[in-house]
Amino acid sequence: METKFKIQDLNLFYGDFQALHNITLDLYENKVTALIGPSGCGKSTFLRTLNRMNDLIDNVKITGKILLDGRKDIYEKMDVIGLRTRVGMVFQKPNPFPMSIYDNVAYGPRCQGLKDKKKLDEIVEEALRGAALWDEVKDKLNKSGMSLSGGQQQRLCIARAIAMAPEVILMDEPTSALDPIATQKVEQLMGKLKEKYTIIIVTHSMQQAARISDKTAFFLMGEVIEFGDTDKIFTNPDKKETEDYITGRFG
Amino acid sequence: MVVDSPIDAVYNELLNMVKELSDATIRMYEKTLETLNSLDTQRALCIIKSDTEIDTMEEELIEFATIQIVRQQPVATDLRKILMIIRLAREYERIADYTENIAEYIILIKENESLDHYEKNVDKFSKMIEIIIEMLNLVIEGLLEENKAKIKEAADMDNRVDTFYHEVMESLIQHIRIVDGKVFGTAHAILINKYLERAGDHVTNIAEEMLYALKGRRYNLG
Repeated sequence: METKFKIQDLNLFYGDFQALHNITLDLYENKVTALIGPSGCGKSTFLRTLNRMNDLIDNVKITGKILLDGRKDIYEKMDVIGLRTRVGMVFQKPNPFPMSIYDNVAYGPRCQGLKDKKKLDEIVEEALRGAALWDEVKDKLNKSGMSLSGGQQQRLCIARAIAMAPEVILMDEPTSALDPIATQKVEQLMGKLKEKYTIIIVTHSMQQAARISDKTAFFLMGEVIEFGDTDKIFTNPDKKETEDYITGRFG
Repeated sequence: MVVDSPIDAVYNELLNMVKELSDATIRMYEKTLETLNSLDTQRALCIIKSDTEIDTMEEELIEFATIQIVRQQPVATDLRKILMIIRLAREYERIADYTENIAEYIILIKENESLDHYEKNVDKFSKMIEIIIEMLNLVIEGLLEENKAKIKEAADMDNRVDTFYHEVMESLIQHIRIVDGKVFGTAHAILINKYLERAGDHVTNIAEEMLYALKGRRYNLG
């Protein structure tokens, strides 16, 4: 297993409040890692450190190291734009841009200066196929992205992320606003996407974490209490706090 | 904040069901103990008949547990405990099943055979059954109290069953006589002996399943 992100002694403060405490963790390439824990435990904050989304919040102070591919510290040696090209993100609520399906997916590559129509067509088709949406939208690429169903919109957002050819996709509760069928489609998609990408997902659904992830990290009050193989965590966790949380006795 | 989980009530209900299954199995061995000595064909037939009661209890337990897995989606210790109870139900059904087989052989021994060799060993069969009943009582108590020492103690008692098994087997083999190509005297008693030995092994399996569910690691107590 290759390490994609190596996190060492990561601390994060919102002003005086310390939201993450001494996180040391390896996130592996071509694996789905689930971040679980009660609300306010720091899992989404942690997810956002991986593509420096927290930079947008005032008063945030970060110490420690996050190394991408085991080498480059993303806070010292990488520009934010370059980082976010390599580390894409999908949010809780589908947020397509108010433009056509085609333009949603082509937006990122165009921002990077790509104008060749043929090349853009290829990227859009490949990204929509990658997001398992192509067959449903290929005949209406000029329709607004907002006209799609919730599940399709979320897969459009995944296609938009894939179009940038990222190495990592961060997902913050990507199915919490979707119905069971749409959830199942996105979950199946994750299983396929991990062949090409490294996926880190925040989820409140224990069953979802158990279904889709290879590795699970349990967060509590800003600390990683337990990190390991999902199969082990959900059948025989080492820590009592993990056991209490996943069995619904704490949180 | 630590809260109760609905799984606790489900697990308690499953414990009640498995306790009833254990009690019914113990009753079958008590009846077998009486029948071994009396060679009462009616009692033996009654044992054969009541085995279906155990089968029904096992089916009901597994159905209830399956529904709860779907509804509650248990994980970690909760999941291990429910799976353990399902496995226990299978083991109890098997252990009780042996009494049906033994009852069938008791009828055949009474009808067809010279009783000499059977009678020589019937005390040892009785002792084996007494130990099995003690093991069954101890192991279910151990589960209800989550007392790991008791569970292990029950499994350890299987050595005593095995000792009797080897003694009886040796004595029966010595008495096998072949006259005009026919085996006389002991075949059915050998099978009774073997079933009792297997019953002890299944109680050991029960103890191993209980310890895995309670402690999260596998033990080899056999």
